[in-house]
Amino acid sequence: MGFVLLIFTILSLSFSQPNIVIEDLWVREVPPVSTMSAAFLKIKNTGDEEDYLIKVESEIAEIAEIHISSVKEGIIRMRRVKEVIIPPGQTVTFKPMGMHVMLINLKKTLREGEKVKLKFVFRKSGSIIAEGTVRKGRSVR
Amino acid sequence: MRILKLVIISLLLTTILSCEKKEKFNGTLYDKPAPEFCLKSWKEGKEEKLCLSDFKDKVVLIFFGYTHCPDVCPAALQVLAKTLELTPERDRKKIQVLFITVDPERDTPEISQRYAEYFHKSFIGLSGSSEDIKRIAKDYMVYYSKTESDSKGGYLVDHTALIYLIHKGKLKLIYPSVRQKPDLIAEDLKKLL
Ligand SMILES: [Cu+2]
Repeated sequence: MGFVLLIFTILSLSFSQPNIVIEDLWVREVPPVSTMSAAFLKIKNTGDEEDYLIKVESEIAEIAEIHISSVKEGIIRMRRVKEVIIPPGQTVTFKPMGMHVMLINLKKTLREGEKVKLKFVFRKSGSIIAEGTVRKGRSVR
Repeated sequence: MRILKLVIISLLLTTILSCEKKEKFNGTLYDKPAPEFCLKSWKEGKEEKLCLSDFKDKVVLIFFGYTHCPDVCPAALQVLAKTLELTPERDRKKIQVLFITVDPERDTPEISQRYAEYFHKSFIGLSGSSEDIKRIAKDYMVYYSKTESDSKGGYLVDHTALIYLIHKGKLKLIYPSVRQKPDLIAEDLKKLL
């Protein structure tokens, strides 16, 4: 019995794990007078276990938080989210009017076309650094 | 003869129907007097009083937002900038976009102006006292509310993000908070200009 458990543990350790891939990262260009921006991206989990995005860090802003915007009866609300589950085999999309990484107190002006690096911290997969581009954003939501 | 009559009637009908079509807008038709307001603008380095009635001869597009808003507000102002781009140059002079902050505590007239003009050089940003903003927001059915959240970025503001179109002293059309399309607004402007 102990042997079977041991095998099971080894198997689960070697096979059952999340595999996080970050794609299409972009940061919205905002007027220089604004100190806030938002980053959008896709988080893909090609592994077979869920993972959780628990923290984001960036050199371009003093604070980075995970936020979600929602609209109900025409009123737009934005709230902070502690963590985001990334289920196995699924892609979680951060997009305008949905989830975004809120970049608070920008340290510099962001210009369209610039490259920006963000560090994403996952509970199981650890830190992943991704590079994205500053964009004006889609004019159609 | 009967056929001719039929042709005439059907022709008349299509004319009437197409006339009616001209009154169809993409925005929601509201068509009530636009409440007057005066706020503070920022012009050539100083604050200046500016009223809605200063733009009697123009079609005015108003968006209420705040500059600490990283998602919805830039998107809406981009939509309005794109709308201008889609409008023939000779008509652009007849359109005025106003950005009114619902966060006057942080957005001074100068900040509002610098924020607005970034999207298009013709845009005007406005601010005022908390009381003025509150009253105007009420007149225009704008909802906004400061929320104390655990965000380290200070308070957030829940708000409606409608776009208002004012024509000949009337609040003519309203565009919803989401899925604002520049081509649809430009189409409406074309009918009004
Ligand atoms: Cu946010």
